[in-house]
Amino acid sequence: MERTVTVDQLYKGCKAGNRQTQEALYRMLAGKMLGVCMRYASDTSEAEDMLQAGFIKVFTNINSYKGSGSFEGWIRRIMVNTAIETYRRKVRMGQQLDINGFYEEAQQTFSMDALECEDLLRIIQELPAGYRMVFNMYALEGYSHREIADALGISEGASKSQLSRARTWLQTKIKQLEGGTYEST
Amino acid sequence: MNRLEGNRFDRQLQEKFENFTPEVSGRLWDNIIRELEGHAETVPLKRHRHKGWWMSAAAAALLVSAITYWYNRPVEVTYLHGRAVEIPEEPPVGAVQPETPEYSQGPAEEQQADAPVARRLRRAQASQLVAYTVEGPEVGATDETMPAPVERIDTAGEPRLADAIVLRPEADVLPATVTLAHVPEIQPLVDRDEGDVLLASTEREKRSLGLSTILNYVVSTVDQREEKLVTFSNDGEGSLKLDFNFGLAKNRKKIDRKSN
Repeated sequence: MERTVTVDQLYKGCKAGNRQTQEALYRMLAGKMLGVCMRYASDTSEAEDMLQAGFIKVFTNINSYKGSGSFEGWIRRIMVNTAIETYRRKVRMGQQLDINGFYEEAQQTFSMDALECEDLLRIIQELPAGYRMVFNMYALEGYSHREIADALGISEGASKSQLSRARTWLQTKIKQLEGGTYEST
Repeated sequence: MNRLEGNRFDRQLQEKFENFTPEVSGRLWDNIIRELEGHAETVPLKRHRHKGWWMSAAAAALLVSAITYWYNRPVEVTYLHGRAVEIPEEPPVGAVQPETPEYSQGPAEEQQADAPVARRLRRAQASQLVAYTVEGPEVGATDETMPAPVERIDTAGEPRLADAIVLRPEADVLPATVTLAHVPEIQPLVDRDEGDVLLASTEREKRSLGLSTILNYVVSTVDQREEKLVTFSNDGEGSLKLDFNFGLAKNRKKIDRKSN
């Protein structure tokens, strides 16, 4: 009879520093966490760096997990925090871009069923870093504008503005990808 | 885009990425293991900063010390010693004053200029002026601050530098047998009779000696008595000493009481 091991059951072994348990946890969550990192990163290489740094933080700071919430959710937050650190480092280096020309375009609703995740991911990765961070944190992770503003060092208004512009920019890009054949719902 | 449409777009994306699990490179776990095993050996970044802070502080302290020393460094002060020279009206028998620049302006010198050269040469040979030579440090000075040992040159039987100097202006009339003495590089001419031969003394001694002399002079201008109430002197190490004559002060009080 095959025994299913959950992420929470691996917590104790990881806390004890058991290398086999740590590897089991990594094998179980690496793919999913890489998907998270790829939405925040500008390319796959940067996403893998985030994933590596994130798992090292998980294993070295595992004592800071107090048991509130799921262990997987805690690991996911660490990945997002690692992505935020990477973004802030890039901002300090002056790699901050803006998007222009899409803000006032007409909005449309459409279905993304025909699009592959890799296509959507590529479009998201083309977003300027600041917009990508705000969009991922708000639309896909569920952070509030207040939390985003604190994490990124911007105002709440800037967070809202960047979210709106990122959405518009993404929809325009998806429209170009689909050849303008949107399915209104 | 209104809020409802925005939320719908967000939800669509969430559903799209919900089960998205890209393939992970196999080398990532090896990198993580290597990082974890080397984590205990790595020096925390804070420690580097701490070390750098101390280095900066040490460099700043060194710089301040160097600047302080530069502005407070000892400055060499030269005290001029004036020495009164008495020109004898009649030179003693057997002692002839040489025609050095210091002695060439008196009336006696004018008379000597008229004397025969051979006579002046004999007088010069019998002069009390002797040449002192200052040996270098290899002679064995026991203390670096003490003057170098003085060695007197035996000048018997051969002309001295003093003779040569005296006779140089009239070299065209001197006998051919006169030769220059073989002397080392430095041969200051010193009058032996004066007693206080100025030898290579340390700068420290010169300074303290001059200061006590000046102070004594000031005291003597105020206190005209033979015995001074306050006397300044120098000890062997060059320190200034103050001698107070208490007996003189007591006597003065008694005199004042009697006079009253």
